[in-house]
Amino acid sequence: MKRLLLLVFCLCSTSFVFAIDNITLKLGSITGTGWQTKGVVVEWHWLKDNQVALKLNIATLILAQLKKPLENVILTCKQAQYDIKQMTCPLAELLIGGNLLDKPSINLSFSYYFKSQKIDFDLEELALAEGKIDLQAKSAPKGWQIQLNAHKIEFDKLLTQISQFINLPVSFNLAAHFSHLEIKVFGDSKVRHASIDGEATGLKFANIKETQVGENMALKIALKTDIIYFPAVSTQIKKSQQSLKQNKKYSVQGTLKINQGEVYIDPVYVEIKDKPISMMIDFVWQPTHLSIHHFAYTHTDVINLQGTGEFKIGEKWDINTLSVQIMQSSLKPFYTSYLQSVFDEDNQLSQLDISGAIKGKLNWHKNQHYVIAQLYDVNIEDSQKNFGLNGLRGKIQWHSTATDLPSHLHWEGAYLTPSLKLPGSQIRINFNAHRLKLLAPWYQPIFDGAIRIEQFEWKDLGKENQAWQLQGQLYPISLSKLSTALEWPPLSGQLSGQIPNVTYRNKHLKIGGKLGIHVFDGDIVLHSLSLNEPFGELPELRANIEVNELNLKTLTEAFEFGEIQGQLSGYVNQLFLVDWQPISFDAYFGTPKDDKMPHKISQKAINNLSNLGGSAAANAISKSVLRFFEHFYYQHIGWGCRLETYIVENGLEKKVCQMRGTGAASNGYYIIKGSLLPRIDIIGYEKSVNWNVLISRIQTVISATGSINAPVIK
Amino acid sequence: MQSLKIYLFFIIVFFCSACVTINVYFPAAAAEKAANKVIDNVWGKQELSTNKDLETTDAPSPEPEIEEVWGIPVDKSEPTPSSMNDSNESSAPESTSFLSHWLIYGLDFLIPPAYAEANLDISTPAIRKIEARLKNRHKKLLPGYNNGAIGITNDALITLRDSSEVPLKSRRQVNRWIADEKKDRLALYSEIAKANGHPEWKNQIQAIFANRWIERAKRGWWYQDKKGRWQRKR
Repeated sequence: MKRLLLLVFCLCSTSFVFAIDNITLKLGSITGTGWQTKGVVVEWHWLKDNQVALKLNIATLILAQLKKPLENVILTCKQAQYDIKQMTCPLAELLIGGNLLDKPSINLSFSYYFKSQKIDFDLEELALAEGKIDLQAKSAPKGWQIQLNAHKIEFDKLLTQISQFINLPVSFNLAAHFSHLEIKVFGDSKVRHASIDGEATGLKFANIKETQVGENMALKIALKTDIIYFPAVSTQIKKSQQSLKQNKKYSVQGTLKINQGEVYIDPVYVEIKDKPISMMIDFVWQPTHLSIHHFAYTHTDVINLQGTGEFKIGEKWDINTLSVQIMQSSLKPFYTSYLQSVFDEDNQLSQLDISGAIKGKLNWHKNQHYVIAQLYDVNIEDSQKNFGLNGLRGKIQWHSTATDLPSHLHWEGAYLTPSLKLPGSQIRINFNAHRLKLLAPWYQPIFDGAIRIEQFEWKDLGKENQAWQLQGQLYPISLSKLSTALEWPPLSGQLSGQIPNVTYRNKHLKIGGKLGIHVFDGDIVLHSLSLNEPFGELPELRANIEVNELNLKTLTEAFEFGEIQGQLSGYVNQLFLVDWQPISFDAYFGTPKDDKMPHKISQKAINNLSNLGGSAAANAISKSVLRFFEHFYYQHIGWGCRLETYIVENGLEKKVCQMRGTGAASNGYYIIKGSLLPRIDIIGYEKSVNWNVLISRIQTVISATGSINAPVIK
Repeated sequence: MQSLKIYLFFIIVFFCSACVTINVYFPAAAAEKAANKVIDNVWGKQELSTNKDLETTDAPSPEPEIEEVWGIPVDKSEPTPSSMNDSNESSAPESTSFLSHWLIYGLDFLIPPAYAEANLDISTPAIRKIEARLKNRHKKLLPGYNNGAIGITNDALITLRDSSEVPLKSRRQVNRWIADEKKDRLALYSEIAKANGHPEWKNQIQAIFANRWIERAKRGWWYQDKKGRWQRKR
């Protein structure tokens, strides 16, 4: 432009000598650094009183930064004034062909000062992307500056129009209505400073995979950058182009305020309504290095993060140092604004009532990472009140290498079901790298007893080959209280004993010793218990169970089965469950040999036992003289089932229980062998029964249907 | 000499008929039957009417929380008009070619022994469990099939075809369902192959399913044809 104006000035200064009215110059092609013009025609027409009309016509303007040339660029100034100092065109018109602009005509004014070689350039109401742009440019030998003010610009349309000429990155889609956007750039032979101030509504963005999406956003942005040039180290430079890249850095300060909108950065969704988000950053960007001197993220009344960081950049990014601090924040708004959206809608963690506060810090150095979180009076409750924890406070620390940083949590109370309330407790752990270890035994009172975990260690946490191990003890817990709380049938006795060495390794859980429960005045002992892939698709359980001398009176009272007096012992051997469904076992329960207790059975119990076998003779007692007897005496009770699973037609499973009793009877087996008078025997004739049928009989013990082979009462 | 030739002929025929080579071919017809059975269980049995209008006869009813995820009152039968705009409509999808069908059926007829009549085992606990999960998830995905957000891909999986039909708030949830659905479907094909003693059949089973999912899709649902173009089921 300067060259062109100089040419015009030369022509002006010579016009008087030759008294020429019109000049037309056809310059053909002109080439400069980064630009080329073709078909340049300058038309010059003298008017009166130092006034000229001029027209510049460029058929093709090629700029290195544009992927296609601008065609038919025409600058017309109908009345330019000139004198010895300057030349001014207060009203010029610029026409640019193609579809770059909404309206191809642009009004502008310019002045050129001959002595100072200064140019002032004003462009008004450039119609672009459904909006208007005003542009002011000043240029002098010492430097230049450009100020652009855009109004009501549709950013997606602007990008579409610009993309005709410049290759824009395609990894992000962006659309917005900028009600106001101001861009200032100044420099000399190089760009020295740039700033942007803008306000947008309806902003949308999305990456290609749509894992980072924003919609309906209203925001204000302010960004300024100083570009600092410094000499490159010559030994490191091989190519001149490389030296250009390596000897400048950008010092950037920016703020962004989001007043409304929705943002989804997988997996977090945040809706911004009446609590705006403010972000601030101050960083220096160099070709191989990014230093964030300070950044802050403030979601009003929700969370406030602040930090610093040093990053290695280039082909591969790496964190040299990063420090992030969460200022003390209330957990409730943080949970509802950020965490809740992370969980599936059917996950109980997505429906929590949370209160309390959290404060935390992350320190990340190349090989050392450290996280600390402090909890203050945290209360967590499932919204359906199925479980909860209250008065939780303490400190959680994790370090990638240090092993001497304890974490300590204390809580005032908890409940696992609405009725299973637990008093307060505390836990001390060490959490480092992929290892979590109990530092002191954890003692949790439960009703009148407690559970005490002596040892717990979890190695390779989160890895494929993770393994853990625990040992502990159960101090007698009243089963009546526990069964009431869990809404089970009322049980008597106590739950107590050692929790033997429990290990989980290679997706296999194994209990090293025996696990005993003292219940109904007897004992139930589990041993050889192992679980294969307990958290997998099809968990498999194998175990042996021993039942020793349960008091039948308390047992039958608990289940309203009908009173039976005496003892019951038995076993479930080689129990095998797949997906918690029984596949096979061999079970037997009966009167132990040395049972000294009275052996009595009620009418109701007899009816129920016979109904379990599908007896049609269930009411035999009530229809006979026997109905006058409340109780009957027996020698032995016994019932066994060997469950086997067969694959039948179409690959379907059939489970069959091979039944047996306390002894052989004619064509059957005794379930109850009576004694004294009036004597009652219950004899089962059905030796094999479908497992599902048996289960339904147990479930509806009174309403069992008749069967030909049902037990009969004699 | 003539009688010698006759004897020789009979001897050759005898030996030929006595030599039995057992080849285990992929039982395509049985796989189709198994696929239909699985799909009917997962999607609910569909009835093919005379005008090829597929209607779900025992489709699961949507739940309020599912409506909340999709941000719409769930329409159970017809797709929304907006999802029809970019329609490149076509009739029923390409099915296994006519010739290959008849070849399979022809071979089945000519070679009647055991395998031709055999069904694929789809009743192992692992398969049943995956099926149950697919069936349960289908209730959640159904609005997405109906409004065109979800499309059935030509590799027997599904994808988020039109994200604008999913409220941003639910995008993560729907993406998660789709990811889980893909994982379960792949596990299903693998388990069927394993359950029948031929893990190497996995890809063939997946290819059969690809066709069957599309064939049994409901009217208005979107699917990918073999060239990867989206089509709307009519």
